[in-house]
Amino acid sequence: MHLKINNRIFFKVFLLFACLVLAIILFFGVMVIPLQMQSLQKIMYTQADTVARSIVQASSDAMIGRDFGFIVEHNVKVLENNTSIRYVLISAKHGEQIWVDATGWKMQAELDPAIVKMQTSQIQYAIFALPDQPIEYHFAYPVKFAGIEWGWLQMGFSMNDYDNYIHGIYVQILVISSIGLGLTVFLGYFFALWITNPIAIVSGLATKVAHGDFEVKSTIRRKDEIGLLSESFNQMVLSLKESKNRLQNYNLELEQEVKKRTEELDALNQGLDQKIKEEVSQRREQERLLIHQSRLAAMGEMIGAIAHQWRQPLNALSLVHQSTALLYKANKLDDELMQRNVEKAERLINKMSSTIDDFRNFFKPNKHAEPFSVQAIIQSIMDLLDAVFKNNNIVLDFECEDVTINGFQGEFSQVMLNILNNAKDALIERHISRPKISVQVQAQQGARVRIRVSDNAGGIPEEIIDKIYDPYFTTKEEGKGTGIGLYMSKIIIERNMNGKLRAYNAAGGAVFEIVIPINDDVK
Amino acid sequence: MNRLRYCIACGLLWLSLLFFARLCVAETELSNPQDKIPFRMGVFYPSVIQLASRADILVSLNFWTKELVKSSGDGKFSQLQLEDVRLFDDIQVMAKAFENREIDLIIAPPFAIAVYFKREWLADCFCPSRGEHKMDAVIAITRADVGSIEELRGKRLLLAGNDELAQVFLHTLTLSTVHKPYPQFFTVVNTPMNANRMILDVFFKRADIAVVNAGSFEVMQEMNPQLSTQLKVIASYPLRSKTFAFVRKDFPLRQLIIDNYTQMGKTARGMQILNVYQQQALEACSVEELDAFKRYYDSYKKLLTQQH
Repeated sequence: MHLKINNRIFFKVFLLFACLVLAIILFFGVMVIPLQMQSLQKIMYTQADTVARSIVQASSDAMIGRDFGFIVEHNVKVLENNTSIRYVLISAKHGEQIWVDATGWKMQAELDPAIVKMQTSQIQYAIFALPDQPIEYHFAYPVKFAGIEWGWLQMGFSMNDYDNYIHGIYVQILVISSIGLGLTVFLGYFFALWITNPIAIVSGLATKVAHGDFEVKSTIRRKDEIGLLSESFNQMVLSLKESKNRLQNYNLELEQEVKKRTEELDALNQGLDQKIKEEVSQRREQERLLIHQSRLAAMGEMIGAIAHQWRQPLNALSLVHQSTALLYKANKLDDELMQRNVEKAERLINKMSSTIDDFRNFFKPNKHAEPFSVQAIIQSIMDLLDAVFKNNNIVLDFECEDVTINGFQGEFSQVMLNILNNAKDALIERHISRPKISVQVQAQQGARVRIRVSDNAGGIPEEIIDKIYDPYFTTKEEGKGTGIGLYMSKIIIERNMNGKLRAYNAAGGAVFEIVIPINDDVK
Repeated sequence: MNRLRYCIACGLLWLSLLFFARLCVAETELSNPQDKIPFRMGVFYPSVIQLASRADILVSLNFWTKELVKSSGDGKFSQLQLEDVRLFDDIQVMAKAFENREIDLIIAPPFAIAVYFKREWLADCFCPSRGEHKMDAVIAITRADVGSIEELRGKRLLLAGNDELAQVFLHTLTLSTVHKPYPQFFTVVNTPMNANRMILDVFFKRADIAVVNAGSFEVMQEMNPQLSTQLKVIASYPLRSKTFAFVRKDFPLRQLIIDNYTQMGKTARGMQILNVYQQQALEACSVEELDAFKRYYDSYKKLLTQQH
């Protein structure tokens, strides 16, 4: 059972053992082959050398006397008695070359180049195949008598014995390897079992512990590392058991604490929701008040402007009135003059009335977005502020393309009024010698309209340029500014009209740039 | 083994006979000695000298004899008892022994038998065969560039000293062509060398003419076809076999022996033995076949007398 659970380690140990044993067997097996080959070749060399010396010794008289009949007869006998010799070649230097093999003998006119190559003053041997012949062990023995080179005795030995022996070695290695494999399987199984079984037992117990059974105990008793592991395991289980109990107690306490804290948190959350609602409501109220304040501030500004606007017609009307009274006392008021003064007075009154209408239209709340002309709106504001600007010698430069956008006309008017008023206040406050305000309206690719209001009041200090849209932030003297104009302008342009309002400094003053989509729906 | 083909073929005859003799001995061991017919063999050793040493021949004969006894195994030879196998170096001594009933079966060259053995003591027997209609011969070989026997005057001759037929053949050849005995015409080199060696010496120009058997020359030609182009037969004398076997005319089991050996090729074991010696068969031969050799010898004598 333990074996099945932990079979991986068993098989690893088993395979390791098997591979190791097989590797050793194969290593020695493979090492044996070249050594055996070398030994066999040495044996073949010795055999060839012995046979060659024997033939030469037996044929020495015949060789010296060039008795080739004897040489042939002798070597035929040698071949008959030694089937491992494939051929014998007797090559007299500058003379006969006699080839003797199992089928007979012949005079050889030309020799194979490989054979000729071996005809040196030293003993030569090589393994190769002559044309149409099997591979043979070729041995060339230089024949010398009293130091004089007579020629060569060359022999070809069959490699059959060599091949059979090597084949036998292969077979032996195979058999040994097979036996080794069998023994490895047999011994390896028990070896791996001996190594892994205690581990498997401990592993099985550990699995039980992992599943929460702390009652298990290892019964392995050995005086080695496995025994130590078993003992340590038992101690560990005991410690775990105690830890678990402590942990359970901690958990219980923790759960109670969590429950208590949760209840507190629930209560706190309920209060927090209420508080958020209140805060949101308060914020909305503040925003509403802000809007209202800004509108009132704008109205105040407008009323001031109207006051300036009305001053001239009121003076004119007063002059008409005084002129009429004087003419009447001088009894010079005829119908024509009367009629002319009345018309003049009506024109002035109409003009003042028109101003009031503009004012009323300006603050008329828009419930729905509607198309309006940007030029007309800006022109009406400038008309309202015209008197104030003239009074302060402010030159107004207005370049405008006639662009119609869809939106809340009153809110847009409020924005333009804020920006123009701020420019005017800055020019007045900084006592600019040649105050000038430029308003440019440009359509951009028919998709947007860009309105740029610039002045020459010196610009906005860099340290506050990021704060100018904050509510209640103002640089004006106390009582002159509320700090909500730009805040509301930003909200109107970006939130209600999906546009962009940004301010930056250009040469000589500040620039406020409004970009509004022409056909975009207004919230 | 090819080299020995012909020699073994020639020796097979007496080997087989010796085996037969051994078989007879084995049979007599199981029978009552008083009922046995003693059987003694005589072999002219120089005729088989190329085969092996005396000891080797006897050992191999015993071995093969036992084998053939086992293969026959029908008890026909139970009456025979091989008492002795004698190897003779002198044909006249062998002929005397045959006359004195010391041997019952002789194996020797037919020419020698024809000249030295009394015909009335001989009866038909057997000889080795080289195949159907294939004759042996005594031949004189020279190198291919020799045109006639006259060109060999004073040249080196190789001749087996113990081969009487070869000597008679050569004598006849020179007397009839150049009208001189061969010792006066050639520089004679009598040598105990075997036929193969003599052929090789002619090939390697250590000699100019050699008298050998055609079988030996054929074997050498098989071993080296270059011999066919570089050597040629300048004269020949045909003969059926180099050795013949004859049994004493009054030997009781003569026909049984002939029948057994001529049937040798029909049994598996017999074929095996014949194949080992590369022999086709053993054939029956008649005493009359010796007449040709006798006539040849007589004509030689006549020629010699004329020369003198």
